[in-house]
Amino acid sequence: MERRLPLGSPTRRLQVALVVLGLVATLLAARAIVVQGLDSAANAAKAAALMSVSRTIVANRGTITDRYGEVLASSQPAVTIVADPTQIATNGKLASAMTAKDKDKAAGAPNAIADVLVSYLGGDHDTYVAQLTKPGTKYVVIAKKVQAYTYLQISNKLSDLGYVGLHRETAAVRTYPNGTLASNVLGFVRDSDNGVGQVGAGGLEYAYNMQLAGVAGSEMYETSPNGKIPTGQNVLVPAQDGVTYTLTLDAGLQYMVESRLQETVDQAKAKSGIAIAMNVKTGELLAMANYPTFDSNSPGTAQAANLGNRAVTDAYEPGSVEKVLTMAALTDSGVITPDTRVIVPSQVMSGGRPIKDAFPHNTINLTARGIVANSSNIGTVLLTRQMDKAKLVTYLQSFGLGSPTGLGLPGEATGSLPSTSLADNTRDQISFGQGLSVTAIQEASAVAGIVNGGVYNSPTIIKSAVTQDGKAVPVPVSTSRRVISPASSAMVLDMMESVVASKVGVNRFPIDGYRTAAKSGTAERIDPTCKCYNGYVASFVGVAPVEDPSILVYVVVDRPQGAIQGSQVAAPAYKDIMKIALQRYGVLPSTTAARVEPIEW
Amino acid sequence: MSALVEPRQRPQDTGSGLRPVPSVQGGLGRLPFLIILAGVLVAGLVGLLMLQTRVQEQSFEVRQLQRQATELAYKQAQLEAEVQQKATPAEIARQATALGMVPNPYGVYIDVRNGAVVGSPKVVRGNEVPNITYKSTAQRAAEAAAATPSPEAAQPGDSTPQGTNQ
Repeated sequence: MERRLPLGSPTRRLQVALVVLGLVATLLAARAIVVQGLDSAANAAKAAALMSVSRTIVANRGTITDRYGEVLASSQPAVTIVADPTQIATNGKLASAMTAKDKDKAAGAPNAIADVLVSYLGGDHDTYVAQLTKPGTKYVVIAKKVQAYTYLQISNKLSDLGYVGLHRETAAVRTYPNGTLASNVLGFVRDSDNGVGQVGAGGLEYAYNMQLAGVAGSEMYETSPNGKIPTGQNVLVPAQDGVTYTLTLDAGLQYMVESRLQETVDQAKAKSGIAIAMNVKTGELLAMANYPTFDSNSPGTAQAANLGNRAVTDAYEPGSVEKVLTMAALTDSGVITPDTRVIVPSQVMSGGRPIKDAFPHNTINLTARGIVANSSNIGTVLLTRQMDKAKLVTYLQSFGLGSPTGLGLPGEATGSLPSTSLADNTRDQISFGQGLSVTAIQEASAVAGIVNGGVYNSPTIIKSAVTQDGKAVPVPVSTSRRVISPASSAMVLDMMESVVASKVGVNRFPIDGYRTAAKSGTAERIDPTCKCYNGYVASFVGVAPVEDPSILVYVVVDRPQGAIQGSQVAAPAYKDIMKIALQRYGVLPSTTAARVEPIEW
Repeated sequence: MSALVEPRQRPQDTGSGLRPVPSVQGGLGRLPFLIILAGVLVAGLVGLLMLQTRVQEQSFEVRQLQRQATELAYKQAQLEAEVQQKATPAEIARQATALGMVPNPYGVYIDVRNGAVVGSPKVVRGNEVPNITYKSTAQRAAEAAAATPSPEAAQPGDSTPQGTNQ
């Protein structure tokens, strides 16, 4: 320690050190200027891109439920399972680095994976093996629409066993737990064109696709090779789930209506059928059934013609059910009362052609009530001729004919109603339901309005809708208007009750304990291809109880073979559906006996 | 005014006079000072390391819990789907039929105010309303194969004379 190291002159040392430090500082400063000053934006973006990851958060499609909250359509987290056969061939190892043991394991992989797949998904072992060993590809779709939890179990099982090569692609799946139930109302979805999510392609799913779909969110976070950086930037825009719709339909009633309708259409060997059950007081639809129908879970396997909702899309000539509307117009304009006397000849000439009744008769003396009870076309024509024809059309318009009801289902037909300057023979025709066309929902709503004390409520099928956070979303609401006076409404009910209770109708369609009012219809069906009449539409409408009409049931059967009369084909179904509906909604039996008023004089 | 008067009012300021400042006692030696400095440094580093480890640990924990949450959400979704499936009218009809129950379209009411029975109870066999009783696909197929009109399909309306009502 006595001798000091020869470090030269301190001044020198200081100078050299300063120069070296200066150089280093200059280099660093230059670099800093290049990075931060000259190209800062691009560099920052590059760095952010390397570090940050963003992913889309898919919004859950809204649920559709019946009036009691029973789920009719909902979305489930699901996946598409894909396999990478190249990876499976080596069980994820580098081919060159495989030991004999690894090779053994890889050789057994396809079989083992197939076993696991069979145990969770079912299906054929050999088909899976073929897919898992498909040469020259890294992508084979194994199964679609697999519940996410099922995939998770498969994935856990495979990692326990030490196999790799199965991957998932997230894709929500729309499920309709009820299958065919109300499928014509609900519609169905298809995969969207951009491959993300699903879009409505029919029914309510189509009409309210925007609201049901919701808004996708996104998450942006910073990541390192070890995963998310805990203290890094994290921007989360949560997805807005779709709107939940509550329908006015009653799934339990709908089920029974559909079963009964199916039986009716099959028995009559008819082309199709419609059945509607409606709350007369509110216009709410309790059931809206179509048959043949389809399963919303698999619209692809259905016939295209059965995917729609005939109750709103198909217009047909209603036949004698229309007489209810005609009588409503006649009573309300003061032309008739149920006791108005008419001499009904065996036929009446209209536009050079004879109009006859379905039952042959000589000249008979009927009351207006008797004309409805017997469903006399001649009598109806004779009465209608006493009324201003433009006024008749105006009445029919006010009953909702010739314009969509606006209940919110897609493809609603307007039907056709002649203009107020219609020809005399057209007036004669429409009085008993030919020469004009209606949809089942129009006709049911019109009759409901007439028997509801004369107050028409436009039909509704959506009860309410709420967003994810409970905010109400506007839905089509029922609009009410007075179409005929309460007194006229009572007179029409009187006439309709005679259909059931008079000696013509003697116990034809009675419902134990209830006073009911009804009308049958049998119309020739216009064939759009030949523009001629071909086949029949048999229908039956009824309301109960007469003292306080609460429920309306309308059944329409298209082109029955064999028996064609509405009273034979559609009435039995009406009767059963009405019986079930009255009981289901706790409508108390009538306390008074049915009126039996004169139908002849 | 008062500011000028103030000093004079201080007690004990006048009598004692000046005192010497006491010398700093036992100043820290060089070595202990360095040891303390090193100690602080080590403690700081260890603390930082522990904090970092803890944050990492928690981040793993968060990820683990998130994964678990997702897994449970999936499980919940699957169970909900099962419940929905089991609650469908068709499934309830199937279960009820399996228990030997039949639908009764002739229900009666009890007036809770006086206990009176409204309506007349009837025995039902399940064939009162065609097709309302649950049938399996196999049963339906068998019936279609039999293709004979079943007696319960006859309705009161069918037996009355036709043609009086269009």
